[in-house]
Amino acid sequence: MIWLALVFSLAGFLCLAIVMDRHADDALGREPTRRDRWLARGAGSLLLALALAACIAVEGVSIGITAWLGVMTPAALLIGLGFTFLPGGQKPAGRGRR
Amino acid sequence: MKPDGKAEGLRQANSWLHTWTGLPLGWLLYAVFFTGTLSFFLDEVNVWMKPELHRSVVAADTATLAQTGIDGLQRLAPGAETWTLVLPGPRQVAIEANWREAGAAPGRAGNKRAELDATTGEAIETRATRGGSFLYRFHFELYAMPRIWGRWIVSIATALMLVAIISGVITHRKIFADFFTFRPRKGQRSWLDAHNATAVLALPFHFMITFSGLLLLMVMLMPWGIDAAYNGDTRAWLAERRAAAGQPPLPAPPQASIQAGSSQAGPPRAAGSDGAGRGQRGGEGGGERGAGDRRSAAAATPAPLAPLAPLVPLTPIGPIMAEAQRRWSQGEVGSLTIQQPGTAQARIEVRELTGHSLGNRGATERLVFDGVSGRLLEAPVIPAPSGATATYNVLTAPHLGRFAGPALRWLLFLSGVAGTLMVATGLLLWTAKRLPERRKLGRTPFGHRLVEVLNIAAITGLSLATASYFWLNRLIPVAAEGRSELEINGFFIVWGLALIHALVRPKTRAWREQLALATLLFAALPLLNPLTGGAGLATAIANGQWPIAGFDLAMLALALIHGLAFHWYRRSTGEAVSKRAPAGAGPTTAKQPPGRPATGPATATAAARAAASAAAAASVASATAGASAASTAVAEATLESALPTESH
Repeated sequence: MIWLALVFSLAGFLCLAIVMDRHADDALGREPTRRDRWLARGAGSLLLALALAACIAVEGVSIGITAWLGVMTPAALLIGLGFTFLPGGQKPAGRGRR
Repeated sequence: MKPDGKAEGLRQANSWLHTWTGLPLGWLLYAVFFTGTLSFFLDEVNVWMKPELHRSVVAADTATLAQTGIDGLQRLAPGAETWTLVLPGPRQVAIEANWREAGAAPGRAGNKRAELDATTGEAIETRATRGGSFLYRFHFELYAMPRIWGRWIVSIATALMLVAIISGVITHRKIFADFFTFRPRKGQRSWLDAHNATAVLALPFHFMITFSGLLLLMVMLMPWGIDAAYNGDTRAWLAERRAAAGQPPLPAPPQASIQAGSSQAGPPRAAGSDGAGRGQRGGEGGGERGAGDRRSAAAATPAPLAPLAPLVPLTPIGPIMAEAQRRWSQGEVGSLTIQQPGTAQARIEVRELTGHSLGNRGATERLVFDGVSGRLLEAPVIPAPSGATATYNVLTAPHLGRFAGPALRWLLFLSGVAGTLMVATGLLLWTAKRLPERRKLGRTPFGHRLVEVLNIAAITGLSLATASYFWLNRLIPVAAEGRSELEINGFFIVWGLALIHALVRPKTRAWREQLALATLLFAALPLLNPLTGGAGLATAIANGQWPIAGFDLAMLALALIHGLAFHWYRRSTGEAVSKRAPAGAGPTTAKQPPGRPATGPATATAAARAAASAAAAASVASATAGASAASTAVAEATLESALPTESH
């Protein structure tokens, strides 16, 4: 179930990230519309809430919240590293120069 | 972080505060984070460092293990007043047996302990070592100084850390816009990104671990409330807290030895039906400061001395274990305490391995049986804690991690690694940020050089010291006089040598050489293990001894990461600046003139460490964490203020 929470968190953060100014261009290839932003943010928040629900269902409230925070940390790190290092992601500045 | 034309405002002021609270004790904080993070796997380190235990293979169910342990204690300590058995969970390989003879000194002084082979029940003689407990204790009380000083020093560093966390959040310009941002190969910018990512993404953990670190020492830091309310009688306060938690009162020491009684969490207490062992919440460990209080006896009931009755055989343990299993649908038995074994008054208490809530601090269920008839006597309900206690517990329980199952332990560990990286990148950022200034000056100011040297010694130096500590554990002869001190002295000597090395070698060389050496030392540990009496990787895996295999795998992962860091650093600081800087190596120094490397390796090291830890954690994850020896130890740290205690 922790894995389920991890998957929800990854998906949730991905939704939140793809409509952010810094990443939208890489992720969508275009400027997100207002509607895009609302949709993605809603979906992202919902997925993070589902991750919380999954944690609480398994571990109980107090440990569940702890687990949720613990799961979101690596999830967000992975999303961030994905934008940096996956092909098509954020181009590291400086490549090509020198 | 840099002035952008605006007048000095809140953010600039906090930037200053962040830098100057973070740097001065940053090296100490790095060590605290590093050793503290390792302490999430204290049990595993302890097992590895006692290779004599490696022949103990757990190949039976808990009921059989319990019977094996009882039989072993029957031979070892037939006349003891109390027996406590901690069954090997996924994080141990042997049965831990504790006992107290009648009339033994109260507190941990009267406790005797042995490790029993999980198959034969024979006591295994292990080498003298402080094992992982040294690293664990170092993380909150340092070493070679009165422990109260160490605790104060760590507390001050922790308080500054809290200031650094808050000022860091305020000074962060784009906490949300940069949430997922890491831009490698951009020098200072990359360091800042890495620092921000490790800080922001694990912020709840950092805040919890720092704040609760202070809370755990609050009796020492702010004793006035308790002093005022209890007229200076910390013991009375402790007794009241225990009562509120449904724990039995501490054994009253006989009148003669009234000063006793630390309620150490580790070994069993005299009358404690509150069995010791992993995961116990006995953690309100000795809040008492000063031995002088005389009123304490009032709070506790005297433990009856075991009458010298004829030997009455104990009931078979199998049905008791089955009953416990039946009642705890999702728990299993972690430990047993047997009062007055061999008498008609014998009582057997079984305790669950892990708890299920933070509010009661991962308190575990227990059941009390008649030791002769096997009849269930009590199934005490865990009382709900008061609001204040629950708040304290919710904040401190994740620090101790004793409730954590494998997945959660793994997550706590990863967050700890993020914290370690946060401190390391913060330290390296300080020098990276000042490179332009240095270039303008055309020389390295003393302060910059000092920070550089200390960075090397604190980061790779600590890797070397830790690896050496493990090496010495196997190389110092078992019979050597004072061998556990020799191991520890070796740790500090190597750390000191790393500092000298960082002083005398040019910076680039120093980083490279220390990284290379750390790689070799870590890589060879799994080879050294079977050569010096331990269970090698293949054997351990075949026997399902995951604490041992996990440690070896973790060392390999550490070696890999240090090796990669070495490789990347060498590339980025070589004659020609490489075009493709390594991914993940963190910032490189592409913009710098050759021969004047920026801080490259640390990120990588840190990353390495992270990865290593991940691997370690992964392997260990199979362990159900339960509570751990660590928890025991931690528990003891909890409120203990001035009380000198030795664990083990």
